[in-house]
Amino acid sequence: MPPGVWIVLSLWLCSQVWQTHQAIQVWASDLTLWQHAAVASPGKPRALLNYGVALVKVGRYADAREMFTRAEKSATLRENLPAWDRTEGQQIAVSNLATLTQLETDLRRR
Amino acid sequence: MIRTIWVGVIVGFLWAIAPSLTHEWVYEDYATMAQVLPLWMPRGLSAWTWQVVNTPLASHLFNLTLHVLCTFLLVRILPIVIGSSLVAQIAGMIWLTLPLHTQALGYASARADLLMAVFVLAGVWVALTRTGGLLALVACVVCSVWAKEFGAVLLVLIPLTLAAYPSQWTHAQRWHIAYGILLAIFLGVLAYQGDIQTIGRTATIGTMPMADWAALQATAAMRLVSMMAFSIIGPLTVDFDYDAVPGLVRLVSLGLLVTCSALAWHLRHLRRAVSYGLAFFVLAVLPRLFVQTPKSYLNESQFYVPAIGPIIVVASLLSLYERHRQTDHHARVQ
Repeated sequence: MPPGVWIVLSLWLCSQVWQTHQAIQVWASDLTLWQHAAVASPGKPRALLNYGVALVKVGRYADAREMFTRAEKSATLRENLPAWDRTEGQQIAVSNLATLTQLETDLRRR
Repeated sequence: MIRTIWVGVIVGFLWAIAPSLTHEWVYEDYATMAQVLPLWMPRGLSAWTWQVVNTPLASHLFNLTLHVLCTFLLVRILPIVIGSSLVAQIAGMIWLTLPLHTQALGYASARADLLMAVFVLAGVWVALTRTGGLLALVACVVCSVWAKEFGAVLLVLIPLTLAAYPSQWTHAQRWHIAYGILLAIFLGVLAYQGDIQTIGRTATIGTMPMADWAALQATAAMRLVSMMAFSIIGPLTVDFDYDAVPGLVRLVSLGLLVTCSALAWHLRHLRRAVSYGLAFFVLAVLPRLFVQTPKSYLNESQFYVPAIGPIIVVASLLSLYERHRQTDHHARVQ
């Protein structure tokens, strides 16, 4: 193999190693995973909903509410989503918003 | 020189995946761990390993070991397929560090895919070398299905391998294998028709037009190819929501699968290894097309076995280049 091939190969492998290092950190927790998913697919109700739930788990209720609202909007407005995705997204978003409201009310009472 | 590069690649790879050893459970890990399956069922082997390897650290180490084992098997298989040990090692390095495998390493629940891949690769190796004979071949098929139901793809990959590289087996043995595979498919359908009905009842297949559904799955296949291509020049985060891509992209994706199949057929005599890699990719992706629902959102690890196809193609092209250079060199010397 000529030296040029080895140089290209080394650069390629370095690039792969770096990307793996970056990408593996996405899997650190539910929060990092679904944040990544919500950024990569901002119109996907499932990603937004799961990110919302991860935010609830760490107590970031306002951010979670925003995600659930975005998921509901996305499920309602995005016509190119499959039917199951829209139905599931809308139902779960409404249910999660109601649960979150209840949770916030309970916390305020305490 | 190749040894030095291997050392560098291994050190780099370990540095890259080291953060995962401190990660906790994510996504469906709890559900996967809690899943209790009878040992004789598909995935029974994977479910059983969860009884033994059930801490985050041990799970990530287990996945890492399986990935390294797969790389080792690939490096043993490729010289037979492409005829060059050096290129096989280069392809092994690419495979080991491929960012596409991040989920397989970082997500503990991807264990079943890795376990299945080990037996699929072992099955292909047995088919290529006849090591262990028919018994080993049967054991690999059984174990791959035992690891994950998609391991049944080995029933198609073995005939493909035997058709492309038939020299190791006698004519009679190839017929025995063909009968065995037909019998296995028949028994499999009989035994799991209950499961198939369950899959048929899920909302996705019932509510989505078949063509649309197939197009979505083909888009998933294109995602695999684009991620592998992008991993050369750009960050892995170049991604798209393949459940919601425009119709034209879906059409292009279906075109990709058809083109790969046509190319595999066309090149079967001219470029056997390239043809084998393309056919491997298409056949390994197809079960996803028929069974997998598009609900699986984060599913790069499910492309672990299909990704072997493109790696064979890349290795074949590199090996062709190497051979071409050698011929050129000899011609100049003469």
